[in-house]
Amino acid sequence: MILRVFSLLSRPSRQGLGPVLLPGVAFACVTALLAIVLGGAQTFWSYSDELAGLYQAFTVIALVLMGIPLISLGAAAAKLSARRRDHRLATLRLLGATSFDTSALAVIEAATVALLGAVLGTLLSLVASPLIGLIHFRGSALGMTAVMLPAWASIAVAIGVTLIATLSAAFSLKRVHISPLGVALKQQAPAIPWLPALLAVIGLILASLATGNLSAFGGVTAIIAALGIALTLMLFAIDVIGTWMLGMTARRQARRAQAPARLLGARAILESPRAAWRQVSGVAVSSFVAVFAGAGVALLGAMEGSGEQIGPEAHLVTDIRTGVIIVVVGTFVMVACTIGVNQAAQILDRADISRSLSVMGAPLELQDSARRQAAVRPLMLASLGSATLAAILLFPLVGGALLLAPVSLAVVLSSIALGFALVFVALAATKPLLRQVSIA
Amino acid sequence: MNASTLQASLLTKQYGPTRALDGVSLEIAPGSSTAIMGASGSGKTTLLHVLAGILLPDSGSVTFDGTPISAINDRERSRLRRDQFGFVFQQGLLMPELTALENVALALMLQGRSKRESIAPAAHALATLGLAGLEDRRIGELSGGQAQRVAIARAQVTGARIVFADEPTGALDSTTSSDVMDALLDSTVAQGRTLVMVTHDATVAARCQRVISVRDGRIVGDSWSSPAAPPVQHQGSAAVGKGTAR
Repeated sequence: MILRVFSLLSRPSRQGLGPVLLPGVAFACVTALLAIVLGGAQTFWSYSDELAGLYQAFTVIALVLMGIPLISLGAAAAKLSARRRDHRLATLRLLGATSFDTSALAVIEAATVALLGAVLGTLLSLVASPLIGLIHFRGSALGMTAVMLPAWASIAVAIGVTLIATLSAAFSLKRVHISPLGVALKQQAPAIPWLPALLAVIGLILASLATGNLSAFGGVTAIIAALGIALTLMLFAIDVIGTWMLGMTARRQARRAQAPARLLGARAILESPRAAWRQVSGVAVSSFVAVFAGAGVALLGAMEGSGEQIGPEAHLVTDIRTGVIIVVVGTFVMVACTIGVNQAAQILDRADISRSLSVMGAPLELQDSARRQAAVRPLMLASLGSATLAAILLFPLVGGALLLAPVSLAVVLSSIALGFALVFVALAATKPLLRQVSIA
Repeated sequence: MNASTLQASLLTKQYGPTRALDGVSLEIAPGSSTAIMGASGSGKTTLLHVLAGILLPDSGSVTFDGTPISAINDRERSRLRRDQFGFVFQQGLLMPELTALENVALALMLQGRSKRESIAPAAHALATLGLAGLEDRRIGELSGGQAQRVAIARAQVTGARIVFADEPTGALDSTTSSDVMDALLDSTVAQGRTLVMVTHDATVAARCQRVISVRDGRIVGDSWSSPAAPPVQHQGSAAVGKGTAR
């Protein structure tokens, strides 16, 4: 029954193709980036010299960085998909479809959009491979054939992205209630528990201790695995701590706000500090890594200047710089996609309220300003907070001189500036949708 | 309270092949309560939206206190709605993330007042409507009737001279519906304000002084009834309370 109904519901909705195109394009970008990074990774995994482990470790870091925004993107795409179908799914419920049926329809649609996006992304990575092949590592271009994934791996990436998006959609739909009267996000009183934040701080300390003593894990493979696990743990800890801090600061702002945009912005964050944080969690990740990368580049630059390297080491500094640029650009593309999709989902979620505000005489600029407030505060906390945290963790290992070296600061500040620019681009890109739903 | 009047002349509005308004003319007297009734698709909501400056007519004009609503730009219409009109919708359409008090205060803040200045009048408006003690509840924590009272408080806290209500009792049971109508009339007509309401419920419409019936985009009935007589005389207008179908 579900599949038969699905084909009927696949026709364009009253909101046009935007809500399908947006997550579809986002999934395409994610898949393309993932395929490109994996393509590069297979090259690094073919190395067998003494620096092979280092190259492979950086690849693991890049993959971990892409995982978290990918999960956020899947959740956002699923919610957007449910909103697009609101009236149709509600009608099905009225006609007797169970909650499972309608949820399954929403998940199938999210999976279909993800699959189409993934296929497009795979094609995109193939088209981009001649350009990617021009990137130099170890003094020579990687070459197109080296960065192209074998067919089985490309298919596996597309299926993997679809699978993660589907699971993410199924999980996120737990918060969406499809009743015969419509689709709504379940309204829950905001809670800002401190215990998870405390546990996250402990986790962060343990992870940083682990990264400081990687040699204790034995062989190269164990070290790479430990690094991957520790980094994942750190990123999740930042996620929890950031959510908590955001909730606390928004609560304070809501009490103090005097202007409507500030009040609405703060209350929008308080409605779900986790969702507000998730929107910019990619920036938190990038800022955190940018501090490590900046210090690393400064350290390697100092090493490079201290003497003549021969063999694979001769290109290490340049290669790490190249890798950092690729990771930062790739992560930010995903952040932009996530923010764009999240903003579109939020606008559609609140279409009725936007319309009522417009009827009351609230100018569009006020609503736009409110959502800017709701995005910028998390963004500031995510970028500056994560960078500060990374600096605190790194200070005992590398000292202040390297952290404050011009090249370190340049990497960190340019990453943060890029993050801000992308968020503003995503907000500007979704303003026409806000205008469309606000028309009274 | 300043006297005000709302006049509509020869309004037409077309949606594709459907003519939602077909030459409607009417005048709403200050301090009166008017129910616009009609079946689904009759054009009653379109008429309310055009009168309130939410929609523009294809032809014809709407004036409020001499201001041609249908001729001013969107920004000026927004200001008019913000400063002179109040709105109550069927679902309330309140901000779910704000408390009851903040929802009411928001209407004042949109006029440029600070939150500090808005809180006291908002609390007073809630108390007047029997919601004292519920100020800090979020909308999801209120019953349907309570939420609708918050919407009424929001509509009248700014001193709006006309309150437009679109099926304000549509989602409520009969007892709550009656209570909400009491609240709506007490906070509008009883205060010298004007109420223009769309409803399909004859019992609810009967609570208003005037009932306008709409069918196929035309006014097919216009009657004054108890409990109040038609208001008299407004700024020299001779056509107070008169509606015409064309």
